[in-house]
Amino acid sequence: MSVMRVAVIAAERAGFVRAAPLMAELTARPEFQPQFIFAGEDYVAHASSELFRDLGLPYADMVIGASEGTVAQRLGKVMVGCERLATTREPDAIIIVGSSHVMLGCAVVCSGLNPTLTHVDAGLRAPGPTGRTSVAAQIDRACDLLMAASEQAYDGLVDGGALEDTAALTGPLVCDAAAHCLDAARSEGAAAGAGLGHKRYALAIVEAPENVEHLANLRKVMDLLAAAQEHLPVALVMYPRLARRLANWELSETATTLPQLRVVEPAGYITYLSLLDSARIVITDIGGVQDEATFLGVPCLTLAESTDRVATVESGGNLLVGLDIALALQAVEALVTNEYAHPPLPRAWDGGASERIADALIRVAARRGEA
Amino acid sequence: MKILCVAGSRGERAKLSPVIASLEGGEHEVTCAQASRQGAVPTWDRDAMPVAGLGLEISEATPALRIGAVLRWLEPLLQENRPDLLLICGASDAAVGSALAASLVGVPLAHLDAGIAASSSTRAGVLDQASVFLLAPHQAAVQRLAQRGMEDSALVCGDTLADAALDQGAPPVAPSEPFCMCYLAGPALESPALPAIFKALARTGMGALVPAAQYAASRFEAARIGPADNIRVIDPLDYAAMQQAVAQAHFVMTDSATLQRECYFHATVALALTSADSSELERSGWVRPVAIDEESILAAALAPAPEQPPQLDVHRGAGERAARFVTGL
Repeated sequence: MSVMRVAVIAAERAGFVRAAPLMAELTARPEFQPQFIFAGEDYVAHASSELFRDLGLPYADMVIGASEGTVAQRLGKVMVGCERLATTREPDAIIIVGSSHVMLGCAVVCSGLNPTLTHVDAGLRAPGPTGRTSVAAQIDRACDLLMAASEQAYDGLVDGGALEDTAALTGPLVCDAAAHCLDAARSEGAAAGAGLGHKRYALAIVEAPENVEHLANLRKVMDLLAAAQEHLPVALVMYPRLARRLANWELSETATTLPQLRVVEPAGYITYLSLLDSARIVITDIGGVQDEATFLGVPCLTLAESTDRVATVESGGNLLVGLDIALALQAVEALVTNEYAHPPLPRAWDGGASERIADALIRVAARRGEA
Repeated sequence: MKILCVAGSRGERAKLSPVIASLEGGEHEVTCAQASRQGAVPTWDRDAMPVAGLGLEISEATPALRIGAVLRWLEPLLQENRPDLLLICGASDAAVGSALAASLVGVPLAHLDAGIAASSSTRAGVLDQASVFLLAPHQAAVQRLAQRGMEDSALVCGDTLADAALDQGAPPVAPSEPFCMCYLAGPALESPALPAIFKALARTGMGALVPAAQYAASRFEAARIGPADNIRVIDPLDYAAMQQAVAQAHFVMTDSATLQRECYFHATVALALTSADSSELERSGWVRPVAIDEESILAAALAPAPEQPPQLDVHRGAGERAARFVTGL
């Protein structure tokens, strides 16, 4: 088999975390010639950031992201860049990392072209009608090869018509990243640095638009955190969008005046992982955080009625509390009072996702060669 | 309901047209938009179809540029007008750009002609996946959607193209001599074998009408296709005239999947330079797949028409199909 040229495309923080172990795996294997394609905003700031350094992400081989213009204009530019990538660099495979609109644009533009279009973390669907039309589902439909992070996701893909030779259960790439960086994270001791005791605080990461972009929901989130901090300290990661919304809606005071609510600035990956690993509870609405918490054995309370991370809920590591303060408090009290038994991890959640993805690419290339 | 309909190609507009008419007959507020290749716009107003209140001429060279142009055009319109539903049809660049804009803004999408895509047509599959409301032309399309787990939001509303194609009235004058028609709007225009099509037409011995939009005419010129006595390259026909010409032609050669279906409705043999998106039509013998090769085209053109007439009762709607859509909505 000749060397396989693989373009790995990622656009935002969650995508970079997944792309890092995959790029490392592909780079280490002689069968591959990987390229990292940056499809996000402000490459220079990202490339010099702590996040990229911590993850060991290489410099991008091609930057197709745009920083200026409306969302539609930026998406249009990314699609043009992706088409140029597919037609001029002629990779054998393009790997879509993430399920944002940017990734959907890339997938649509590249579908039907020669590269084997591959989606990692495929099959993510929240139960219910919106899951079918989700951006992730559309990306899956555009792709030739689907790498599922969990058995539930894999089964969903097969039920939706994917053939067994186009779908594979690989496990989540966030586990690879976490496993790779865990020793460094534990050495860092970020919690102690922030004045938080090991396993004596809740880490809150709130970023989903349905919570952050709606005043009524954001108020409920802040009320919930205010109630939780009466049971144990809460470290709230203050991402820019949350900070903007809290300021706009004059809710910032809640975040700064409560005695046990600490605001933590977003940091690099090692610091983040360190804070997550040391937490007693994670309170979040972000899918990737639910995966990471489950992998690390930190019980997770998800501020949503449903989640596309079905495996985390079914494993027992994640409880959906929505914005129900009473239910959330009941869970917090139980988790503060009782010892938490780490439930068994879902199948293939062993940090070997990037290896399985590379193997799957080789199998497909071999099949194509035979054909 | 506030409904925005976006059409890209001629075929998409034809299929949407009866649906729009039915919607306008109800209490819905319907706005039509069309995003078409540059040069196509002048023909819109001559068609007996709903006039597009919003229009975009696309001159960009590649699919990504064209999709991006539609996206940039439509996203602010959706933000401003906030329709309850965006209705698209087919899988053109306009349909894909519209679906992306709807997804960004959070407007629910309905896809007309859902489930007809061959498995190779990934784009149409993505549009089906993106839609909350799938309007399928026949039961086979619903079965295809069911295989992808989408049957819950699918409705068989019949083939609205049949409504559009068969309601255009009788031709004013019957032709005195047999003639054929060639209409190219897609991949055949980019084929290096394009001159073979014209050589084959010249050898049929019958008059050949070649309606050509600006882009097609420029491709003919670039391919140095010279004039022939029996071939007339003419301006695009409006929809009614096109259907009447199709109904009277001895055969039609085309790379348009829509026109292939229209040929079937009119019991005219279609020489298909691309897949008809429906193996049923190919099995009927009225739609004949043919390679872009002089001898293959000639052989297919001169073969007799099938004895079995088209099964119009399966497709014929005369407004009924579109009305089913409105009821389903």
